[in-house]
Formats: sequence, structure tokens, C-alpha cells
Amino acid sequence: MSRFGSIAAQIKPIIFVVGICFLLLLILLWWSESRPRPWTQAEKSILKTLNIANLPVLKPDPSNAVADNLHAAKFGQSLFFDTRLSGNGKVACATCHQPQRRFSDGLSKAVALGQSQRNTPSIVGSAYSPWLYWDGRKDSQWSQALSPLEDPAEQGSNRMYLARLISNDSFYAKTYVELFGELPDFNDTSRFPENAGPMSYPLWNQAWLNMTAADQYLLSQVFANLGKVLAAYERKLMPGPARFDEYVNAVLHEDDTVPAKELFNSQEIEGLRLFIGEAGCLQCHNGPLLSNNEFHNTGLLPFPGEVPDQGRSKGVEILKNDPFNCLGPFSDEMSHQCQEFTYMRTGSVVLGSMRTPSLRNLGGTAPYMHKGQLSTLAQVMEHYNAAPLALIGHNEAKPLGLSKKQLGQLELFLNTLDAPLSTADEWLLKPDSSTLGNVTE
Amino acid sequence: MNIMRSINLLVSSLLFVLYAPSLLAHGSVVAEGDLCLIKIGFYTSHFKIFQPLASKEREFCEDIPASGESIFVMEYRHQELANVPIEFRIINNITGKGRFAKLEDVQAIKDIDAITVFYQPPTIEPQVFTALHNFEQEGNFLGIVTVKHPQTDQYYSAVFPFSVGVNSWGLIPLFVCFALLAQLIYWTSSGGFGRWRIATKTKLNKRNGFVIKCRPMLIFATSFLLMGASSETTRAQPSWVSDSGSLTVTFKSEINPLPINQMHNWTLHLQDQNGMPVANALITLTGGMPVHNHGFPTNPVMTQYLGNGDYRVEGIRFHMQGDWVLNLVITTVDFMDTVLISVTL
Repeated sequence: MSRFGSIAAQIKPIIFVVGICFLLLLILLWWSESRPRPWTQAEKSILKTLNIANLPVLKPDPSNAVADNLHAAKFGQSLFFDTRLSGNGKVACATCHQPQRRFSDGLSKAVALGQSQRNTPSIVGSAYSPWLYWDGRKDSQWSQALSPLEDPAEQGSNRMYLARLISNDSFYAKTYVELFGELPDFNDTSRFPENAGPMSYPLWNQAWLNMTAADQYLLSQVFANLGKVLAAYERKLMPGPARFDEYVNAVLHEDDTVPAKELFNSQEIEGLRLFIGEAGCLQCHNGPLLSNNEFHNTGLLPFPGEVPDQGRSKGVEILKNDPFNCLGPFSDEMSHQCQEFTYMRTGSVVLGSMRTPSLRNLGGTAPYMHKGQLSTLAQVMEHYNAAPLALIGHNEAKPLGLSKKQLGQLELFLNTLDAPLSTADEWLLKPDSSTLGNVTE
Repeated sequence: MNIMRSINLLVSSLLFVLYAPSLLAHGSVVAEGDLCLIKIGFYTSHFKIFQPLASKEREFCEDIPASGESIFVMEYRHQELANVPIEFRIINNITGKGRFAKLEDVQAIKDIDAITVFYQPPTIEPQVFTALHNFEQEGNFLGIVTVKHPQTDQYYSAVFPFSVGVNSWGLIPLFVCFALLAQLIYWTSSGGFGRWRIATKTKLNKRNGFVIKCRPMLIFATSFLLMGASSETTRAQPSWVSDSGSLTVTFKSEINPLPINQMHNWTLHLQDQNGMPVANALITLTGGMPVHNHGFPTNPVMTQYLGNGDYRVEGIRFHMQGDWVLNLVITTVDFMDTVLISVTL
């Protein structure tokens, strides 16, 4: 008994020391686990490509002669918020593209005069995209801006009515003449009816068909010019630096005043690591705007009551036949280069594909996807994790096999991309009618 | 009596054999490997039905499990379908022929509009054909796809019977009837009735005669089970007939189901019309995804003849989901033949 007691007394300190060591090891493990692995040089160079500071200077739009004209932008801003540009006088561009929602509307599918076919995309940063709309059926901002004006489900107006509206409004008429020269005289009602325009109500369409080709051309030119001033305004809408960009700056310049760890928590860091690595998001969401502006089929289910949307494969056909495309008579592109248009991918390779949206406007742009099929980012993460079979064409995404925790980390990271626009506040409001025409900037 | 019995057995077996192939093909929609194909005259197209609200992206070949919103999709295999108007109609299956209804039965219907539940007028769809119908009721239907010849005024129609939400026993009741009938004929022809009369008189132990009496029934049961089993294996290991018709090719992948983005090897098996293995052939492989207009990411090669008509093919990798084709050129000292194998991942 006493012998056993002496052995126990000898062993006690050893057990104590081993125990302490074990505890220390556990603490060390926990500490190293909770401390994110530092970024490798390769990862840092990827992060750099996503930084908004690396957004290139916006190239001129050769198809739009007034794209960078300040007067045109002011004119466009007024038109953007003007509800008179609609069939019932109640719908403006800003009805669906709401500044406080990153120029989107928070609906699955847009609702104006009727319900439109797809989800309202944000306009912010869209000047960088060679393609507009989910299916890329427009190849310039100015051409895109024309469609909703005449779409019966959207603003439901017609180009004859709009041209008259411009010539009867003193500010609009004055600015128009300064930018584009004299407006045609619309007083001759035998040549120019009250309402006329193709692709709208049968009565207006018939009136349009009754016009001479020369008058149709005159009218379409005025119409196209309205698109061009709207585009001049929309070119000003640009995303601002987000917490993500601050973090990247801190990571890249370690001597910066704000240390990186104060900007991102470990969950967000792991989310970013997944984003640029295992989750494969960069395949489509790359560059400072986090979009490759290309078309991809990601196997989304159709909207209830609808057949699967063919997306780009139909968009290409519409674009080819659009008189307002880059090669058309209303484009200011004189050299007829239009490389994007000339070399676009067509046919079954793009079946069911939609344009990759920028991830810089996620805040306020839910529900997501081309028909707003997914209402939360969590659902979007689950969708890409599962990568289901596409009903038409082929889902280009592959199942990721990420855990719930990892999907949560990705979502937390995506939220760090949200930021107010870099555009000055005066551009984000309906302009005060008393200041119309006073171009200050 | 023995002769009678043999003839009886032969007839029953023949009936079964003749009957069996039509089990796998319902009208114009047929399963080929893992794919579902619709044949409209000389045109062929992939065919699938979805119920996205109920079962998301789950694909059905013909029968659909429940009423409700259903989407019919045809992805063309014959590219000419992209240029011709396609008309689609769904009618109540009142032909009385159930699953065996054919175009003639549809043509015999006087007022087709009265039983039409869905009609999509002829339209040209350059990429893919889609149609949506919300089935309000369960039941048995016929789908009719009509397509014009690209040049002439000839029209081709495909008719495919399908059920909506009918928990069908399939052909089992029919089989049971056949088996019972065959059993009855056999029993009567082999003097069963007489024996039964004697047996009832002499209280003979009937157990002895049970196995003999039930022989055709057992044969049917076994062949039915085998049929079921073989149709299962057909799905897992489909076979393809060469372009000349003289060879049949099957394959076994060392990884099942076929993996994506993973290099793996196959064993190809070649046999001739008589089911004999084809030895010492040279096989070259090319292929890709016709829908995506791209080839294989690798260059698979036949590396070894394993004997018994088996060939080892190495270096197969599929880099995305979808429909893939492999073109095989098979050369021996006697002949050269080609086979097109299609698989869906």
C-alpha cells in the first residue's frame, strides 16, 4: 500500500506535465485552426484582378456620338425619371430601375403596364458590358433603352408620341436641337399621325405602316437619339468601392493604415477563399465587376407556367434582325467594326444560356436569376452546389459538394461586395425641374 | 401427348419472344441506351418530359407520375428538324389499344379535336422544341408529333402513348392472363381434366402433379423475371449495332456511373450476328459532344485484346455532363465496320 502510494506520488508530476502539454497543444490547434491561412502570392494576384481600383477607364462607345456629352447625360437623366414617356403617363425607366435598389425593382419579374418576361437587371456598371438584357439581344446601352419605351408590357408608348413629346417640351426640344440639330416638323398630321410605331398595338402599328419609309426613318432617328441620351446618363452609374475592395487593398499593401483582419472576419475570408478557389465562381464572375459578360446555362428551372427560356440562342437571332444594332443605320459606328457583334457565338452552344450578372449590385437586387426564381443568396448558393441537370441545353456548372458551413461563408463573403454607387448623388435623383438645363459638372 | 406438350410450350415461348421487344418500345418513343428517342418518320430527336413544380429537373421518358404542369422537350438529333414546322397534340387515349395504339388508330378517330387536351400549332423552333401543358386530370394519353418533309409535302407523325399519374401495373396483368391461358391449354391438352376427374374420385395426392401442371406458368414467371432483370441490365449496359448490322458492341466502364472529369478505362466487347466473340480486331476511337461541337478532351486508345471478344480501351475522360458520342472504327483482316455509341452523363 505504501509502495503504491510512493509510485503514485512519483507519477503525479509527470501526469501533470503531460496534461499541461496536451492542453497547450489543443489551444495551439484551435488557434491555428481559427486563424485563416495567409494568402499565397498566387491568390493575391487573383484578388488584385477583382479590386474595383482595377476597373479600366470606360472606353468610348463609338456607336453613340453623345455617349460622353454632359448635356446629353442631363437630358437623359430627365427622360429616365419622366413618367410621361409611357402609354398611361405613370411609368418611367426609374419605375423598374429604382436608384435606391441599385437600379432594380425587388420583383421576380418586372411589373409596369404589364408583367415583363424577365427579372429587372441592375443598370449599374452596365456600360462595361458588350451585351444588354439577360439574353444579350441588345449590343449597346442606347439600343437597349429604346425597347422598354415601346414594349406594351413596360412603358407601352410609341416613337411618334415620344418624338412629339420632345418637340413640345421646351427644355427637351432645346437640348435635342443643340445635340442633334433640328427636329422634323411633326405638325403635318397627314405625314405624322398622333401615335405610330412598330411592334406595339395593332392600331399604332398600322399607322406606322402607312407612313412613308423616309418619314419612318426620320422618326426612328429621333427615337434612336432618345436612346443615346438615356445611355449617356446610364454610363454615369458606376459601382463604388466595397468593404471587399478595402480588404484587398489592405492585403496587398500590408503597411496600410487599416489592418486586413479588421476588415474581414475569418468566415468572410474563408468565403473569399472558396470564391476564388474550390467553388469555381471565378469561371464566370471575374474581373472588377465580377462578371465575364458572357452567356452561360446554369440549369435553372423555368418560371412556373412557362417553358424553359432559350435565352441567348433566341437573343442572338433578335439582335441580328434589330435595326438598332451596331451595324444598323442608326449606329454612329462609322468604321463598321462591331467586332463583338461580328464574332458572337451562336447556335446550340448557347442554348438556354443567360448573361452573367455583376455581383457588385447584390444588395437590393433580390430576387435573383433571370426570372427571379431564387429569392435569397442562400438559395443561389444551394443551386450552384447542386448544379442540377438543365431542362434544355446543358448546365455548365458542376456540383460542388460544399458543406452548409462553406455555403454560408460564401454568402457572407458576397455581402462584402455591396456598396453604394460611386456616382455623385445628384445623378441618383429625379432632377429638379427648376435646375433643368443648368449643367454644373 | 408429348408432341402436343412440346408444341404447346413452343407456341407459348414463341408468343413470349415475339411479344417481348414491343415491351421496350411504346409507339414512336424508344429507349436507346440511357437516352429516350422519338422517331418521326426519318427524323430522330431526344425526347424528355419534366414536371418542374413537382419533381424539379427529374426527367421522364413517357409516363409521368402526377397531373399538373408538364414540359415536353425535344432536342434534335436530326438537324433538319430545326428548319421545319413541328406540330404537337395530346389527345385522350380512346383507341382502346392502350400502350399499343399506333398512327392508324389515331387516323381512324373521326373528331380528333373533341378529344384533344393540348394543341400547339406548327412552329419552327431552330434550337429546341418545348411545349407546356397543365394536366388537370390523370389518365392515359397519346402524344402526336407531326413534321413536314423539308422539301416535299410529305408529313410524318409520331405517336406515343403515355400515362399521367396512373399507377400502372404495366404489363403484369397481361402476363398473368397469358400464363393462366397457356397453363389451361397445357393442362387440358395433357389430359389434366381427365386426371382431375380420376383424382377427385380416387383422392389421389395432388401434390405430385403440381410441378408438372404448373410448368408453363413457371416458365412464364421465370422468363418474366429474367425479362425484368435483363431490361435492368440493358439500362446499365446497353448495346449498339454496327452500321453494317453485323456487329454488336457493348462496353463496361471500370467506374460506374460514368464519371465526369476523371480519367478511366473501358472494356469493349464485340460479337457477331451469331453472338460469337470477334477476336483480334483493331479499334480506333474518336468522338465528342455534337451538341457542344467539341471533341473529347483526351485521345482514347484501344491498348489490348483481352480475349473472348473483349478489348481494353484506355484514356477516356468526359469533361462535362450531357450527350456524348464515340465513333468506333473496327478493322479485322476480313472487314471494316463502324459503330456510333451514344452515352449521356
